[in-house]
Amino acid sequence: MREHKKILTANLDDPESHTLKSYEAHGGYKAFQKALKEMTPEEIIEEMKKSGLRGRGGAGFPTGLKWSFMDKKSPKPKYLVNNSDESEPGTFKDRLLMERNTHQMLEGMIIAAYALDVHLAFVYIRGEYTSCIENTERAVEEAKEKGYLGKNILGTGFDLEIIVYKGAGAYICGDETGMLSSLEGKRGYPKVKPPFPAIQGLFGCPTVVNNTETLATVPWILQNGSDTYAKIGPEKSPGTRLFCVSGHVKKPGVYELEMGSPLMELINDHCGGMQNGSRLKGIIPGGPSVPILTAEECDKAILDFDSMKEIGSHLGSGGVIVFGEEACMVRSLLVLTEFFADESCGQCTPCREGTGWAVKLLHPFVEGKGELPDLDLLMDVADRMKFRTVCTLADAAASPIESFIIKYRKEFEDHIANGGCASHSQTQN
Amino acid sequence: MSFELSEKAKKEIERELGRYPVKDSALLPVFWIVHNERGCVDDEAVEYIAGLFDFSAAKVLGVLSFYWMLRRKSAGKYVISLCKNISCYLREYENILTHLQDLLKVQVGETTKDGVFTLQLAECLGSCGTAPMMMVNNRYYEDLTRERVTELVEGWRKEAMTNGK
Ligand SMILES: Cc1cc2nc3c(=O)[nH]c(=O)nc-3n(C[C@H](O)[C@H](O)[C@H](O)COP(=O)(O)O)c2cc1C
Ligand code: SF4
Ligand code: FES
Repeated sequence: MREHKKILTANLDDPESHTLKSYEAHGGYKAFQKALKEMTPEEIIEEMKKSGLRGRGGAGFPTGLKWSFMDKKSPKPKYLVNNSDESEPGTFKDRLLMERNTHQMLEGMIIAAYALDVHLAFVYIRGEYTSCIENTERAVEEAKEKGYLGKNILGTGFDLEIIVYKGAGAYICGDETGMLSSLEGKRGYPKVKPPFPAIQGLFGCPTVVNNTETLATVPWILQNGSDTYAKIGPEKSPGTRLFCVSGHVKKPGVYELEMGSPLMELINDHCGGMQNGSRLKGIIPGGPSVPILTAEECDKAILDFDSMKEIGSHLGSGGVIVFGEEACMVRSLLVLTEFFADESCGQCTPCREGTGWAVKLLHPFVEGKGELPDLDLLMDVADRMKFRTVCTLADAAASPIESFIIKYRKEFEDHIANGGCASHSQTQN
Repeated sequence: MSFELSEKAKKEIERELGRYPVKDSALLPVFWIVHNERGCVDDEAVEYIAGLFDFSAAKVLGVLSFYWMLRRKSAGKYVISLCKNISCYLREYENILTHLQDLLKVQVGETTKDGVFTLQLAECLGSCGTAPMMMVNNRYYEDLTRERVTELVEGWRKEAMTNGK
C-alpha cells in the first residue's frame, strides 16, 4: 500500500490523543505560539493563501481568501464560528477529529482568531454528538488552565474565549448562514447573500465560518510552512483529506489520504474492497449533495476538487458512500430524497414543494406502481428546484434525483416492469 | 402542576443568560437545560422561557419546533432513535427496525404502555462507518445486530424494573 502523509491523524494511535498532554508530547501547540509571538495577522493570512488550502466543509473555497475578505476596518466585534454540525449523510470525519484530535482543532481556532482579530469564537457542534461536545468542553478547559485561552494569552496581549455551542438537530444549521441564525436564537433559516458573513455575519458583525477539518489543518501549515503543504497532492487541491467511507465495503471508516489519490485506491487498498465479494455499482464521492458516479466512472475518478468536477461530481463533504450490486437504487434515491424533504427549512417554495413532490413521485416506483412519464416529471421537478433558492439545499436535493435517474434509469424501468424490486429481496441475508 | 426547576438548573440558566454578546443566543442552551431536567420542553416550560427572554410564547415555540431533538412532551425512559439514512439503509437497518418493533411491540413514533421505551427513526447521526446504529437517549450504539439489540433491550427492561421508571 502506498504511504500517505498524515496531517490530521498522525497521532491517533495514542489512546490519550484527545488530551492536551498527548497533543503537546507530539509537538502540538507550537504553531500558535509562533503565530502569536512572531507573526502578524497579515502574514498568517498570506501563509494560508500560499498553502492553497481549500475549505473541507463542502464547497472547497480557498481558506486564505475567505479570511482576507473579513471586514477588518469594521468597528464592530468580529467572530469565528467552527462549523462542527456535520450532518451530511455518510460524513463522520469531524466527529473523529473532535473525539480524538480535539486540541489540533482548538489550536487552529486560536490561530484563525488571532489572524482575524477575533476575541470570541464558537464551536457549533450538532446536538447528537455528545462525546464530541464533552471532549471539546474538556479541551477548552485544559487550554484555559494552560493559559492558551483567556485573557492576555502567554503574555502576548491577545484575548480569546471559545464557547462550545450545542445544536439541537437540524441539517440546515450546517449551512453557514443557517448556523448563524441558530446561534442568534432563531430558527436555523439560511440568509440571503450578499451580504456575506465576512461583512455582515453573526449579530450583523464580520464573521468567518470554517469547517472543523479546515481549522484542524491550520497549525500544521504554520508549523511546516505553506510551501511544504502546497507540495502535497495536486497544485490546485493540495494537502490531505479525511475520507469517510460507508456502505458495501469490507472496512468502512475514516481514512486520511493525500489529495489526488485515485478513488479506487481508497476503496481497494484502504477499505479492503467490496464486502462479501459484491460487485461495485456506484459511489457517491462526497455526500448525497453531489452526483453519484457509476462503476466505470469510479475507475477513472481522482480525489481532488477539480478532477471530480471534470467527471461531473464533487468532492463535497468527504462522505464516500459505496453501493454494491445488492443496493436498490430506487429505494436509495427515495431514502435520500426523503432526507432532503425532511430537512428543507421551508423558506423557499421550489425547495419545500419540490422535495415534497419528488418524494410523492418516487413512492410508487418503490412499490412497483410507477409510470414511465413520471421519471421525466421527476427530472423536471429537480430541474425547477435548482439555482433559485436562498441556500444550496435545493440544488443538493436535485443532484441525486438527476444523477440516479440518468445513470440507473434501467433500474427504475425494471421496477415498473417487475412490479417492484427484483434485486432487493435476494440481497437481504 | 407548577413549574419548578432545580437550583442547579436555575444557576446554569443564569450563567447562559449572561454569556453571549446578544442574550437571544442563550435560547438554545436554555432549552437544553430545561430538556435535560424535565425530558421535554412542555407548554409550562415555554411560558417560563418566554418570560426569561421577554419573547412571546409563539416565538419560543417557533424556535423550539425547528429542532428535532427537542421534545414538547415527555417520552419513554429510553428513547430509541434508529438511523434510517443511506449508509444505515445499505447496511440493512430495516432488519433492526422490525426486530425492535417485535421486541417492544410498538410502531415507529410510539411509546410502550409501561412508558419505558419510545421508538423513533432519525436521519444520519454520523456513525455511517459503523452502521446500522441507534442513539438511545444521548448514547450511540453502533454495528448493531439483532442479538446485540435483544441484549440491550433486556438490560434496559431490567434496569427500569429495579429502579422504577
Ligand atoms: C444544507 C447545507 C449543509 C451544510 N452542512 C455543513 C456541515 O455540516 N459542516 C460544514 O462544515 N459545512 C457545511 N455546509 C457548508 C457551509 O455552508 C460552509 O460552506 C462551510 O462550513 C465553510 O467552511 P470551509 O470554508 O472551511 O469549508 C453546509 C452547506 C449547506 C448548504
Ligand atoms: S433552499 Fe431549502 S433549505 Fe435552503 S433556505 Fe430555501 S427552503 Fe430552506
Ligand atoms: S447513515 Fe446512519 S449514521 Fe449516517
